Amino acid sequence: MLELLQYGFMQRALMAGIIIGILCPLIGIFLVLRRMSLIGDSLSHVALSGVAAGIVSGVYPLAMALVFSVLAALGIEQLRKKYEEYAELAIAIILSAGIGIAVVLISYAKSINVDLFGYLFGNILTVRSSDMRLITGLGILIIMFVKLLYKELFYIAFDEEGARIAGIPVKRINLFFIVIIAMTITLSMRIVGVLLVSSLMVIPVAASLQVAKSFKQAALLSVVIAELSVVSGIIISYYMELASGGTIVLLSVIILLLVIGFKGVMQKT
Amino acid sequence: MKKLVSVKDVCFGYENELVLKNVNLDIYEGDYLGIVGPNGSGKSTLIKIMLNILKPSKGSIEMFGKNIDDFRDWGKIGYVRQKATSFNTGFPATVEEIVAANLFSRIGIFKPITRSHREMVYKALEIVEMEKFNRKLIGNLSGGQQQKVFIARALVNSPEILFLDEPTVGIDLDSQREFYGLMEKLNKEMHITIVMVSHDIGVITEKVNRFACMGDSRLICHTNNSHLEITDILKEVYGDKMNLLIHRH
Repeated sequence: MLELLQYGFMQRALMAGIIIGILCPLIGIFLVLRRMSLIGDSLSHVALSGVAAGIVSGVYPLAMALVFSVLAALGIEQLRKKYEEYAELAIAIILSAGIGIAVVLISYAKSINVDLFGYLFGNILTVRSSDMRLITGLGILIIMFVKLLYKELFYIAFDEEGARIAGIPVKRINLFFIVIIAMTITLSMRIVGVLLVSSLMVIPVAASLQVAKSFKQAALLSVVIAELSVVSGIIISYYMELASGGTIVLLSVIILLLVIGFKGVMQKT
Repeated sequence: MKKLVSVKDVCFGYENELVLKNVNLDIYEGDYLGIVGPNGSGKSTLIKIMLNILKPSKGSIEMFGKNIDDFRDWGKIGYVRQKATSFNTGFPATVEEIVAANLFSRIGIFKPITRSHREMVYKALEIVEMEKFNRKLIGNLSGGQQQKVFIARALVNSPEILFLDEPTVGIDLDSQREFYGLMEKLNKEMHITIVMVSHDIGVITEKVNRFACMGDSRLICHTNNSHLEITDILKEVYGDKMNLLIHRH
């Protein structure tokens, strides 16, 4: 087991995994409770188009993905104002645009030899030192900000109108939050993959909601479940040569099913 | 008496439909003001404009002598919104967490909750007799208990004025009786000014000390509570078939 840690790529993958295991559910709990789960899918598809643009232009793909997803996040906020009655339309429009740009750029860049599969489904072998620096630096910054804004994000998630009347700067916090979602998605792509990143934001939260007795407990429990899935997922995917993203997400689904089953048994007894 | 809120010549509309026409209303310290009127008469819209949730197309609001856009002292105001109890019941929050939320603006961004804040939460829960439920999940309480928690949330900052929009909708008769008892205690013993929008005309006319009636997007009357006068006004708004029954809650 310890032999794993002798490899530089495994050290990087585990370190990055531990950070995104905190980040994804911490952001995800606010998304789920605000019924905004789909925003993760939308922004991850835009992040993919950023990766493709990075590959085509020769710019560091993760940085390009970060720029694309943050711009898309701001675009969603603008479109939500235009379609106040159909807020989910903003998410659908950005998702479609993201896929469109990604497909066009990928087909344009088909002659370039890149590990696109790794970006789509996650690959622990591809976490480079530069990725590691970005994930650690920005990841810790995001975790700190969420911790500091935790109580305001909680109030907005529970009752946005009440929070506004209580004097909380809801608009500014919402804008800040959506940018943070975009950053989290970009940082998580290397480990979980674009197509599965939103699952890591949602499934551990879904499991924690089954048993949590307070909001704080729900947040902590979802982080524990995500960490369990990420760390064991990375180890299993190494030994069995599987895509890390799929393994991590499947493990979190298994934990969710176990929690639902456990709760059912407890309620019967 | 100190004027707390002043609504001056306010108009509000959605596209071609005017919801409020030149509404003027003053609310004074110690008032227990009941606002009634048929569905769509603009009662809730008026409260939302007073609280700066909606912007009037014409006119202005003054809160504690300041224009509402310059008003920052939101701790002086408590608000229990319409259908407060129709929130996501699966939300994993305890009673204590919900009530503490209204202190966040006072605590400030980036600062944690301290023991003195927890004591304020406990006191607010004591007023509504819900202190024993502080660790319970909000979704596991009855409609009446949830309503009390939302009132505690509105009271946690020790507000000077409390706005309630249709607060008794969806709660049983016993809880309604308790609710009106609590409002009387807040107004008479704790000297909190109360502004309540309600469809329950019978109870409102019995309980409040000032009365406002909305109809046809206008404020038809704003008067001290006098049953004879009110009955005539309500007949004008709701029609001759209306028969006012005073409940003795």
